[in-house]
Amino acid sequence: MAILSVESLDARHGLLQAVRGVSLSVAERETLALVGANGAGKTTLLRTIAGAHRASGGRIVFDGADITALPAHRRARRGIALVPEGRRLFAGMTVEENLLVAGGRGAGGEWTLDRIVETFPQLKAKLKARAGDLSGGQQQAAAIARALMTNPRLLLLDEVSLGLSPVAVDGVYASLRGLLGGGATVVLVEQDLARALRIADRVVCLLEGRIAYEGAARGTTREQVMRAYFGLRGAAG
Amino acid sequence: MSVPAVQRWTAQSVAFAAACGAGLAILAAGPAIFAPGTTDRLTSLFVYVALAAMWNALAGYSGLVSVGQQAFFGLGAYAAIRLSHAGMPVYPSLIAGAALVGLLALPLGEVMLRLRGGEFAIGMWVLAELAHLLVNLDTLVNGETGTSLIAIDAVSAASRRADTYWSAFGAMVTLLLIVFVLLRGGLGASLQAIRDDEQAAASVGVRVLAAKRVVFVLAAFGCALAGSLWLASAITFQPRAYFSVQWTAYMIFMTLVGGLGTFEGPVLGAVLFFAVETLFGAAGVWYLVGLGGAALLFALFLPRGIWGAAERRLSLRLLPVGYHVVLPEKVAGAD
Amino acid sequence: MILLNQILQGVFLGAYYALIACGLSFLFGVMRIVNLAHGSLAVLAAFLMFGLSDRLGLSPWLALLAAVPVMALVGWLLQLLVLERSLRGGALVPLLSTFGLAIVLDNLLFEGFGADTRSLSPYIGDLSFASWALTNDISVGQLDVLGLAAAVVLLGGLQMLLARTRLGRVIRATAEDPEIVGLIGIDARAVYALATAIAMALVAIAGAFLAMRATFTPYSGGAQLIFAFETVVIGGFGSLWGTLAGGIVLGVAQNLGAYVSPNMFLISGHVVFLAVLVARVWLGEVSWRRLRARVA
Repeated sequence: MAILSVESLDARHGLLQAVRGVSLSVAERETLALVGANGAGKTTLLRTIAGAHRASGGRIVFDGADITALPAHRRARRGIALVPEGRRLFAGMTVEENLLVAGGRGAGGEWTLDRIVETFPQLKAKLKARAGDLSGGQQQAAAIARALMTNPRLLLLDEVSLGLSPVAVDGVYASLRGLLGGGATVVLVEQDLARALRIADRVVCLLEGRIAYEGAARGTTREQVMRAYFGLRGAAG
Repeated sequence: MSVPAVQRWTAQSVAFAAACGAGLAILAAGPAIFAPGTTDRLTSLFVYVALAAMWNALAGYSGLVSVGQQAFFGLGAYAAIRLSHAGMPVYPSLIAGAALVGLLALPLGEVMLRLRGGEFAIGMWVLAELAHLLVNLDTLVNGETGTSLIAIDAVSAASRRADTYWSAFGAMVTLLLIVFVLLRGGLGASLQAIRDDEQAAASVGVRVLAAKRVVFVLAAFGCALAGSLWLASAITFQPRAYFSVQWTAYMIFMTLVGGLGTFEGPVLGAVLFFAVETLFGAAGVWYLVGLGGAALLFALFLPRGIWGAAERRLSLRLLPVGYHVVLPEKVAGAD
Repeated sequence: MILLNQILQGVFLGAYYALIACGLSFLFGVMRIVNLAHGSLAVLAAFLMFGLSDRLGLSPWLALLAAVPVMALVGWLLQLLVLERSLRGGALVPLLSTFGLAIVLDNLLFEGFGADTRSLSPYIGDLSFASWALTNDISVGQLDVLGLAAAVVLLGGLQMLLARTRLGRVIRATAEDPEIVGLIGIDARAVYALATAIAMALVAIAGAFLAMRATFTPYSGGAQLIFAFETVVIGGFGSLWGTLAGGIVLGVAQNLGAYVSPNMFLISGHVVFLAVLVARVWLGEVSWRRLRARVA
């Protein structure tokens, strides 16, 4: 069952066409890795799905409903959560407040403050700390936790490893492991191809706004993805 | 292959400049050809143009919205009163007074220019209020009763009218020329950069504070000159009339409606304001409601003003303040 | 003793300044907009209450009760029709549009009510002059004390709203990052509208005290804006209690000036304001904040 279906999506960045006619679908409980060089359109694609960016053409269907015209906060209420590039925590508020302001939307969700702290033990001691004072890895954990507090049906992660030390990245992915295995539907952008192929069910590679490769992670080799990544011939998808 | 050329003048701008020159020549003959009433009215128009040009230099080019330029307008008139009272001949005292106010703007700018946005806007208004209060303390001015430019009474009405007209005309042209020259030069580019993104401009070496200082002092001098010229025309000096925030309302109307950030905009705005005032000035309060409402609507829906919108739509660049690139002719069959 | 009394009066005046300033400060804190029509809106509220008391014979307190929701609605409309568009236009537009609005408001009020000086003090009976004697020489006005109490309660209430409630968290998050807040399901536009409504409700209360303690005309808005602004600058743009402190400093400075000479009332206030600005520039932004943190 496809929870998300993107049809011929176009998105512009000023005069530049960042996403061109992208069509893909994400099945429930699937983990999709979105890879591609800088500027390939990955972030714009995620932002457009979440509603933070306006599509200039195409459709987005979520849970059977056309959400293309919906503003971001409505999509969030329907269950799409984006962890944006650069974390973007509310720096002046405490970690706990960051989490609380995202949660509390009733409807008995599975994500509570307690469960968050269990999943992200690095945050336990930092709940009352000012979010802007946290380390990169802790901020990333907090940003993901904040998104989870909305009890999303679809989680979009944009470059969670950006600007983090290798150790921190491992820490973040360790926390995510439970998530990814446990039935969440996730689309994540990841620069590290090896890691992407390891944790995802499917891989999509973008090149200059278009899909250059698409396939199951298990059957895909790094070489195949890299050819699509760099736009070399023979990267049929 | 020929290289694209960067030009300043276009055929359009040459034609327009010529037309302006002709218009100015006619205006210069002013008192000789116009009726006394018209001469007086045109003097007011010249003051309006000066004010609009100065406010535009501040807000349109440097991003500094000042709700307190009336401070300099009033101080310019006050300085002229004081200097003339001290014995200086009337017309030189108008300019000297304005120059003194311009000098005063230097230390004021040191403090005020560190403020941003709304802080600068209201901060300047406070300055205007303070200037008003301090001027009121001067026994010569005698509080709100005010005084007059007595020395000018010594001159005949016709002569006074003509001299004031030419002074105002000269001041307007000079101020416009100064703005034109500054904008064409490095300052113009710096200001454009500051207006677009102050931090980015500073990071590429634009001396932000220095650029703002020039404009601030120029605007102070220009508004002060406008004030002393207004005094020469009106002769009476009642602090409340000169230090009123209404002058800012006029300046905002002129620049917003005319075209904020363009060179020609303030002139257009001043002419429109002049026309509106001539037609509706007697309508009292509704006239002011109309001015405020127009400013509000333009700010919300047409912030580039009439000239700015026309420039965009018609790719009009009449006066050569900017640059444009001329692409080489395409050579047939080449690659 | 007269001096002490002047200072005391300055404190109470300062409490009023804090009242008129907190709406301005709150709106700026949430939306980064300096509302140049702030003073005119307070005068609008004062006229609204005056109209209800004078024409309909309502008690000023009932008039205030009615005015608060009306002004809140005005705030909501203000956000929807003016501020929302202004925010999208860039940094200059909010200043230009709110200034235009102020001119429109001032002159429409003049058109509707004329040039006469108005006041609500005839309508509050004894309260306008009743006082409690503290000692043989010093007495405090009951209305003054009420004003101080109102300032403390409102500032404290606002502080609590922002720090402790869910709504407060939502407002703070939106103030910090209106773009990201949509991603967690919060409608930034709705939050802005609510914040403007709250700011206008605060303005209504300030307008009530303006009308009861003093007199006002359709053109009083400019002065009120300036007092509010000076208060916020002296007290510091971020802190609510700083607003009270700033108001008191301004009120006391003005009254001390008046003690020297009646002419000096306004002048000393402006001078203190400018002195604070100069100090800020001299010390540099960072050390200024550090200095204030130590004092506050």
